[in-house]
Amino acid sequence: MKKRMLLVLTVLLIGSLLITACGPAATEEAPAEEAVAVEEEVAAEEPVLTCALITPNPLGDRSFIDSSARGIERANAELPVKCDIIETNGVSEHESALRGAVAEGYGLVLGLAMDAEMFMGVAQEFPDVFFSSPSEVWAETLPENMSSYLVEVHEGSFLIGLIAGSMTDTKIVGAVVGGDSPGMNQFTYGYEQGVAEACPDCEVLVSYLSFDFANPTLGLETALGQYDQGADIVYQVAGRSGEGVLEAAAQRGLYAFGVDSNQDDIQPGSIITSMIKRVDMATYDAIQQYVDGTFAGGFFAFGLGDGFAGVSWDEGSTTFADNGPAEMVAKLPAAQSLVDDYRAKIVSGAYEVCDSLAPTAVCDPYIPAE
Amino acid sequence: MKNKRFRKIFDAILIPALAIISGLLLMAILIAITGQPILESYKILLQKGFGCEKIGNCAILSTLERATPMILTGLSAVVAFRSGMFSIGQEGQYLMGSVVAAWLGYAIHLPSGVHQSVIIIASMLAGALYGYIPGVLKVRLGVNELLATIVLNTIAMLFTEYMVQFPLRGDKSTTAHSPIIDETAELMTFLPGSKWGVGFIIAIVAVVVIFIYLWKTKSGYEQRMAGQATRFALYGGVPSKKAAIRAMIISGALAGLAGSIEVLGVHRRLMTGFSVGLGFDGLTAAILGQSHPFGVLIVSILFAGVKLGAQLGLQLKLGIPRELGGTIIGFIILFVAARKFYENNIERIRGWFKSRGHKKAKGEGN
Repeated sequence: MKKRMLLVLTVLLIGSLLITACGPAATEEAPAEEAVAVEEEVAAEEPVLTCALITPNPLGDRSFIDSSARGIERANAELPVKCDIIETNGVSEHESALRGAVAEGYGLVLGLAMDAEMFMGVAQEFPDVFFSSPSEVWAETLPENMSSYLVEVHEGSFLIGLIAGSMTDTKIVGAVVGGDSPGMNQFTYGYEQGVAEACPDCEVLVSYLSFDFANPTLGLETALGQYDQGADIVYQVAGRSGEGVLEAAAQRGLYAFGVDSNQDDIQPGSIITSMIKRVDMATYDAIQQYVDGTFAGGFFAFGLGDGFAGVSWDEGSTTFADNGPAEMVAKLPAAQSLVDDYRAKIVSGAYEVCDSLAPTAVCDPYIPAE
Repeated sequence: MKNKRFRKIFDAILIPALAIISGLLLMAILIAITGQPILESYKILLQKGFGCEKIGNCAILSTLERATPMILTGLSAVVAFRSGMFSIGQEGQYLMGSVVAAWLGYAIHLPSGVHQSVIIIASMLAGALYGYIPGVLKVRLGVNELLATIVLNTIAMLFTEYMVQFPLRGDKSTTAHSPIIDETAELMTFLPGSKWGVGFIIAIVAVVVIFIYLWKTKSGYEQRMAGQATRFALYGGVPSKKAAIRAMIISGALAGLAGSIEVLGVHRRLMTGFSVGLGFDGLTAAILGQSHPFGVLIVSILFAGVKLGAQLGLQLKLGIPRELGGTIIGFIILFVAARKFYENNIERIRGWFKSRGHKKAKGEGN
């Protein structure tokens, strides 16, 4: 018995050694020929336009990374271009992924939330390749072969605040925000301003999650805490942690707002609407420019007026109208018209929303005193 | 004598090697499930992880660059493990070193050469201090170093995030980062296209120094004894408490060094999300490397290469998810953890060969 097992193990061991030892050497020839054949095929056709999207973290955040990936899918479907997605896992992989994509010969390389200095350095090094950032890159000037898109999320969050202020029964609304930073507070302050505009005597509870964007349980507990304090609507701006907020709304039979992508369907009937940050449109726009041959470097800022920021209702989402309780659904038309009013005012420049990254006097009520 | 020594090294390498082979074999199954050609996948993995097509796009250089912090945090873990401290605080110490490096990189202005040296020493001190805390807690109050370092890691992570969001924030960009460090503070890189540079040389020197320290000096011996046989060491007059604290200080300093190299040599600044678990990668490298400095060196390069190959090779060329790289590494660790399985069977096979005569015994395992 023992001997037989020994024999089997020995054979397995030696076999495995042989396979792995010979493997790479034996394959040398065949795939090389294949590769040549493939290359010739490609060369025979007209030059193919290619692009690559490099994500800052793996796909599946149900937020801006996935949104950008949708932009890639749409471009693949609608434009004569072949785009791939390269996932990375954190800052230490960004640069090698960028360089890898350039080496692969992609004509346009899109980098999502990359370090500006590093990204621009690579762009300067390879002037023949186009680069674009669908989410903002902070710099004074950009190389000629690089563009950067900025979505005005504070304006979208303001609209969400308006809706919250006009629909709350308890006059207390909440916000669960991933972290207390100027970037995240674009959402927070815009929301607070919206609530104050629609309901001056409403209170806004704000909770920050110490930059833990991957902890739904934390989001759930935090939101439950806000509901316990009397809030009936909570805005989540917290990545995957925010899914816990949406879950908490469903558990309590109360309400929440989604963020970045249309999240209305995650908890149908509990999510009134979602703040939409159309990273996918920015992604698509950059690819379209590249395909049309009109690619231009520089900054592009898009907000409510261009449809890059807004609410999920703009996209025709009726999930809440279909599944929400009747008395809340009855408030939707009023909220919608409020949104339309202010949207027009903001787009025309008649109304200013606080931008925490460039704070003006408008922001004063929302910035906590030191 | 020489033969015996060779045998010892061979034994030490055998199990990790078997674990790696097993991991690669399992990978073949996973690749088969995705429907991609198996052998070509291996070839691409090797090419994109360890190959070099041309200067400016040389995978092996990127691999070495990525291996650098892993080597140092791995060494940090080795020093702690060998002294009987199961510290997993490398991540926290690494972050503390990074914060100090990013801050001094732009806050003070010194001539090149002096600037880097000052920063590196300061980062090592910061890491050492952050390692000293769990060390002294363990020795004086008996606080389990594992728990203490877990807690300190979280504190360091939040501290780093706070520093980069507020006090060190460079500008008003949506993603926070500290200002770029002065040119005088940058660590030189050797070739364009990768950040492989002086940092790697420092890491190699550290490997050698730690090896000499642990195996060729008196205090190193004390530390290893304190780790292997605490009571015996005490009986023999080894000040094991001192040795434990010393181990944590050295361990912290090494992790802090990794942080400064990552900032000065690679990113040139600190940014939000800086903590991506490089400290934990070092920990795995130390475990798989048999808690030996040279083992850590080899394993770190291997891991960095497999990760890079999976990301830029498998994912880009074949559309196989990049997570496969991490999965393979996970399997390898699992196989190392299951070393008893190999040990028992190796003994059996050895016994079997021996009973068949000495001539064949030489050929085993080749």
